[in-house]
Amino acid sequence: MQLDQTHVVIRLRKFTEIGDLSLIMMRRYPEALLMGFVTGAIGWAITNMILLGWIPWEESSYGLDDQAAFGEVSRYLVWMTLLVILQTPAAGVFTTLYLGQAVFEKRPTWKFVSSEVKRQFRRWFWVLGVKRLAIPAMILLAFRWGQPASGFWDLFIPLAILLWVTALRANRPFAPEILLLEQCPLQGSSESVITMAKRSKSLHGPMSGELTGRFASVAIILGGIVVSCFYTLMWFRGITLGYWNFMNLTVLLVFFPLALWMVAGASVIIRLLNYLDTRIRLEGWEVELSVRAESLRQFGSEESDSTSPPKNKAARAENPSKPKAKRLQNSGASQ
Amino acid sequence: MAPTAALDTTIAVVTPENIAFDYQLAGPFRRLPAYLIDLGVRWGVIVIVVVCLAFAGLIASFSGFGSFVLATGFILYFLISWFYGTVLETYFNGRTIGKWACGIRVIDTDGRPISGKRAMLRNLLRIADLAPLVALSSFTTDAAPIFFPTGMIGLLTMTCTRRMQRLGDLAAGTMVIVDERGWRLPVAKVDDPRVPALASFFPGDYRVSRSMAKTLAIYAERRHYLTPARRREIARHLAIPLIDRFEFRTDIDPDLLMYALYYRVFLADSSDEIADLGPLAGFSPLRRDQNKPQGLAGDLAIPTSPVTHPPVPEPTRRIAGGIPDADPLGKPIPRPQAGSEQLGSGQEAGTQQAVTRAEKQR
Repeated sequence: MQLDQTHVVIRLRKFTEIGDLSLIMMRRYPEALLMGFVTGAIGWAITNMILLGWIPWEESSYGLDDQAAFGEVSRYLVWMTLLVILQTPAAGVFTTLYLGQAVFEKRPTWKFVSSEVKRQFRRWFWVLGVKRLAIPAMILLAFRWGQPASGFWDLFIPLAILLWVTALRANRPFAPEILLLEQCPLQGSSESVITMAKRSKSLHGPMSGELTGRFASVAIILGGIVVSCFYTLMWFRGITLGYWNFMNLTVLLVFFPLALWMVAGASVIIRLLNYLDTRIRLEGWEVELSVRAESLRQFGSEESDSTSPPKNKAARAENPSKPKAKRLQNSGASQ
Repeated sequence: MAPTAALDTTIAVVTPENIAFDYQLAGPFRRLPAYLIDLGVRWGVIVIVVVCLAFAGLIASFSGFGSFVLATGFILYFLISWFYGTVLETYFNGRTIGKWACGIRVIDTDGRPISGKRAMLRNLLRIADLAPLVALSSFTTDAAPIFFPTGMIGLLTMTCTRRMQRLGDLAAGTMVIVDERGWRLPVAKVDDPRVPALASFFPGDYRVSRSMAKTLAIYAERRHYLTPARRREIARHLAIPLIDRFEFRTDIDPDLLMYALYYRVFLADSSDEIADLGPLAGFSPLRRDQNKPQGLAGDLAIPTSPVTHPPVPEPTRRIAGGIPDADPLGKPIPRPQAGSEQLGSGQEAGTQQAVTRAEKQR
C-alpha cells in the first residue's frame, strides 16, 4: 500500500468527521452497500426469518393487538435485533473487502471480492460467525423453534449475549479488518509470526479507551437511526397507501428487519473508517506524508519509498502486521 | 477509469473575487450536537420566560393571568422556534449559539457570509428536513400530541449532495462549514539533553522554510505517540539528506536529528547561553570527527537494539538533573561529580561547544 495513493485523505479526524465521511463514502461507493452488503446479508436475513418469522406469523392468527401478543412480539423484536447485531460483521465481509481494496489500492471487481471471500471463508466464518456468537445464537433459536416465550431464554440469555458481545466488540472492534484486509493468520507456527491475536492487541491496546468510547457513541447514534429508519418506512407506506396500522405482519417481518440491516450496512463503513483513523493515529501516517513531501520539496527525491518494507530491523521487529500479512500493509505499521 | 479525488469532507470554493478557499464541510454528525444545543437554548428561554411571567402573575394576584401566560408561551414558542436561527445567523456571521459552541458556521455556496434572506429561507425549511415526525399518538391513542423529528429527509439530502446540504441549504444556496482555526503550531517540550547538544552543530546560516517549520512542528508533536522504530522510519525521509548536507556521521539517529532541528527552529534562541551538556560535552556528530576519540561515541547514533535500548529515553527514565542513566546503546553515562567539578564540566562544555561553532562558522 502506498500512503499517498490511499483514496481517503490522510489526516487526523474527529469522531464526528468520521461519521460525515462515511456518508461521502456511501455516495462514492454505493455498490459497496447495494451489492456487497446485500450479498453478504441476504443469507443471514433469510435464516433469521426462518428462525424467528414463525412468532409474529403464529400470533397474527390470534391478533397482534392484544396484550397476550405483546410478549411474543417483544420476544421477536429482541431476538431479531440481537441476531442482526451479531451477524453484521460476518454479513459485511464483502463490503469490508471491497472497500478495503477500493480505499487502499484500487477498486476491485466483484469476482475478485467473491473469490477472496471464498478463499478466506473458514477464517472469517470461525471468528466472526462462531467466536462472535452469531452461529451459537442461531443454533439456540433453532432449538427454541415453536416453543412459548420464557423469561430465562428470551430475556436473560439475549441480554447476557448482548453484554458479552458489546464488551468484546468495544475492545476489539477491528477484527474483520485484521482478518480480511491484513490477513493475519489465526495461529502462528512460530513466535515470530504475527497472529491475529497479537495484531489485535497491538492495534487496539494503545487506544482501547478511545475505541470503547467511540463504539458506545456509534452504538447510540446508530440505535437512534434504526428507530428513525423504521418509522420512516412506516411513514412512507402511510402517505403512499394510507395504511397507518403499525402492528401487522408487513411491519414486523419486512420493515423492522429492513431498518436493522440498512443501518448495519452503514455501521460496516463507519467501522472501516474508524480502522483507518486508528492506524493513522497509531502509525503517524500524516506525519510520514508531511515529512516525505518536505523531503521532495527540499531535495527533489525521497530517500526511501514508503511502499517498501521497513528497512530498519527494529521497525520490522516491532511491526506486528508485517511478517505474514500479505495485503494492505503500509511500511509504517510499527506500532 | 478516470482518477478521482481522494475522499474527504472538504470542498474548494472560488469566490467571486477569484480567491480559492478550501472549506471543511460540516455534515449531519458534526451538526447534530449544535442542533441539540440550540434546541436546549430555545426551550430554556421559553421555559424561563413563561415561569417568570407565571411567578409575576402569582405575586400580582391578577385574575386571568394564567390565560395570558399560556398565550405568551405559545407566541414565544412560535417566535423562538421560527426566528431564533434566522436572527442569530444573520447578525452573528452564520452562527447560532450551538454552532458557535461546536465551531461551525453557515456561509453561502460562494464562500460569502450568509444574508438575512438566505438565513430565513434555510430556517423556515428546517421542518421539512426534520421530517418525518414521529407522533406518539401513532402508537397509542392515549398519548399526548408530542412529535419527535427523525431527520431522515435531511440525512438523505445531505448524503446525496456534494456540499452536504439539507433541503433548507439547497433552497437558500448555503452550506455549513467548520470554523475552527488552528493558527498556532503546537509546541513540544524538549527535555532530552542530547537535543541541544546536536542542535548546536547545525550550521549557523541554515534557515528553514515555513513548510519545513510546519513539518518539524507536526513531527515533534506526534512523535511521542509513535514507537522509536517508527519515529526513525518516518524521520529518515528528511534526516538522511540533511545528514549529508550537514556532513554529519551517517549513524546519527534520524529521530534525534529531526527533534534537534525542531529545537533549533522553535525553542533555541541565539541569544541564549549555551546549555550545560554535562557528559555529552566533547561529542561531535560531524563526519570529520568520527575517528577522534570521544567520551560518548555513539550516543547520538541509531541504536542497534531498540527493544532493549530505545534511542530516546523517555523523561521518566531520567535522573532529576535531566541526564540519562544510560546512552541509547546501553552504555552508562558518567555522572557529573559534585561541587566544583560539575561546574567545571559545564564551563568546559560551553567553551568546547563555542569553539566548535566558531570552527563551523569559519
